[in-house]
Amino acid sequence: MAASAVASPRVHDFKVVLLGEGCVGKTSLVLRYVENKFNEKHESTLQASFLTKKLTIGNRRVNLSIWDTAGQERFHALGPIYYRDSNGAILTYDITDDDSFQKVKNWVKELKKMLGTDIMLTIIGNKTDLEKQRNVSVETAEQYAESVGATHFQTSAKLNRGVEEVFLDLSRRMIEQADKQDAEKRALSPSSRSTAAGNVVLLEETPAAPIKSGCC
Amino acid sequence: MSVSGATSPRKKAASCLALSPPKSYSTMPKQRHHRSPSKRKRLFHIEGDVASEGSGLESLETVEDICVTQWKVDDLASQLTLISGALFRDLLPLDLASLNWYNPKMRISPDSQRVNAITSRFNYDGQWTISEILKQETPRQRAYVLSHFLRLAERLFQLNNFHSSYAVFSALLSSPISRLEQTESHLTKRDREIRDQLSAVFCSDNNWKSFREYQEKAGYPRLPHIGFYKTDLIHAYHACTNVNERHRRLKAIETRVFELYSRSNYGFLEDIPVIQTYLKSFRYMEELQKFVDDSNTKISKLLEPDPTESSSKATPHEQPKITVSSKARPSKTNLIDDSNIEELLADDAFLLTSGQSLNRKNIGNLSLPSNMAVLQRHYDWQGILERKNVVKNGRFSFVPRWKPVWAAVWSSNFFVFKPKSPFRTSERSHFDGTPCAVYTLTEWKMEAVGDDRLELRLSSPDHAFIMKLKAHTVTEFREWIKYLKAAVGGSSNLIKFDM
Repeated sequence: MAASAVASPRVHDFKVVLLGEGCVGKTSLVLRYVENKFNEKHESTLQASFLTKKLTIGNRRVNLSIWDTAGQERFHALGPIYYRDSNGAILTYDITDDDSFQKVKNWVKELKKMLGTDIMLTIIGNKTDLEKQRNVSVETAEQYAESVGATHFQTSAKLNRGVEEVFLDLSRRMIEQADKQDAEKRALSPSSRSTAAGNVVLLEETPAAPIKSGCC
Repeated sequence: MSVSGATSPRKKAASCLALSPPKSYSTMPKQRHHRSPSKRKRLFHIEGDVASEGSGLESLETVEDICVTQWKVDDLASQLTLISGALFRDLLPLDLASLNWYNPKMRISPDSQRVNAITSRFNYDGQWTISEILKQETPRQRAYVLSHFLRLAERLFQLNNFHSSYAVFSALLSSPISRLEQTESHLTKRDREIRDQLSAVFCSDNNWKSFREYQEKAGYPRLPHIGFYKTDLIHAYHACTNVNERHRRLKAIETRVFELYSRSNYGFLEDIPVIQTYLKSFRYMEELQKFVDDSNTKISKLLEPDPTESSSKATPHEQPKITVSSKARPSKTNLIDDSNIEELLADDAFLLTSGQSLNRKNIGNLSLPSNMAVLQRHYDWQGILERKNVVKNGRFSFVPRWKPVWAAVWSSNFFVFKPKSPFRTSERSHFDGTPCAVYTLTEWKMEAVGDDRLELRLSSPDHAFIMKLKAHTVTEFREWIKYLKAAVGGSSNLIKFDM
């Protein structure tokens, strides 16, 4: 595991998909996160729904491409097209709306079924500024998140609370997962397919190292 | 038997490439039109005699009996285009930019209904595609129907009807369909070519760059896929804090979308009423989509079980396709009764003669008799009931209690909706929008529990589910009896009931 951490100048390209019911604040959340870039960059094209963010964690550089599905929730068949090849998913619910939490559960079920453990899940209870109208208790949500191996955060996109942490934590876990997959790949035969990380660039993989076991 | 190819009405679609530069259809000659379904008969189709139905197709049974391959791809494409074209024509300026369609509280406002009609049609077409394929019993039959849909997607694409083309195509990528490897192995080279060409255009990379570009350059007439523009609108709304700027941006996106379809005239396509009736006759309720999905997945797995449970990830069209001789597959057992279904699946002939031999009716109690049955707009009967679960999933309830639920019946399905809060349970809006359970009551037993108590008891054939239901008034009780009686399959099951 230590192998790629030290020497590689590797850049991780991660795809993150934002899922959740309409009006739970997915868009506000991601716009909060990439805020400053948004206005000038997409002014001319009007094609705003695809956002990128670069960040550095430790000595790792990460490019996040964040796919928002806001507005397309009702296109039922499009979910799989969005989450395909995703390294991470952010599942957002509105703390004042229990239905939206149920919807998150459905998404978790589907993602687990389709992508197994390759995808890192983060569950977010948004709109903590409306604490008084809360309908989903923190304990319920946290317990549920733990039971499915997801991390749980509470945010307020409106007040810009907790947003940065969500993406930071998710990126860390995606890096860990990528490392784990690399290690597995090295351990196994080189023919095994890269799983969910379709667009991860493997700078070190070029020499075909057939039966090189463990971490080098 | 040359099932996938030679006999199909596809020569035209095959000769002109899907992705040739978009044409303007304004000068196109009138399409030939076929008033009757193609005469091509196939051994294993249950041929619904559509011509004799006249304006028929009301009943679900009839719809289930009709196979989509009865109709030519060109005709299906033209009729789907006319149906969706009408929805786009209804759309007014500002319907999209108002964003009312995104606001749950505005669902019933006319402008959001006009926008949502387009999404609903998209979902409907997708569900129809999946159902038609899963209706087929053997891999070969499924491949044949799948191929029909691929060519339909291609033809729709050629008509610049990106809305419907993408609806059909995305359904083919859905997990119940994309996991069908045996079916996949029966596809022809031409089928695969079409699929590759379409996936190259309908590609999500770079925020749907190729799809957007193709669509925007395609010319008229055209029906665009509006999904990503909807996301653009939501983003524009949230990104601009300045009200004027926000308004300007929303308007700009809307104008751009409006431009895409506003001058579209598909007048050169002839109406074929019988096909339109068919294409509108399925029953579809969005709130039940979750159940339809589960049911689709189960049917798909029953038709073609996973080789090993661990490899059930969906990686559509990526894995090397293995043609497994059906007899070589590992043994699988039936989900319901632990019987060995391998024997059934190994023999296509058996499946052909036995029709519903896969026992779709009983794929778990939370499933539906057939995935298509869920496509219905109205329940037969619905209302508030008190329910008490005596036995659930084979276990006796510890302390069964009466709880109010919203319940609904159609055909042989019984739906239960839980209250949102235990304190208010007097009208529909106090209950969940999506049902918490669906029971298929075929073969169930219904009994009146007592004479005056307005109570009845429903029990599943294996006694894994026993519930009591109580109505509030005699009138309601009679209605429930009437519809539940029909649901369990007629009076023969009605025991000890005198009213």
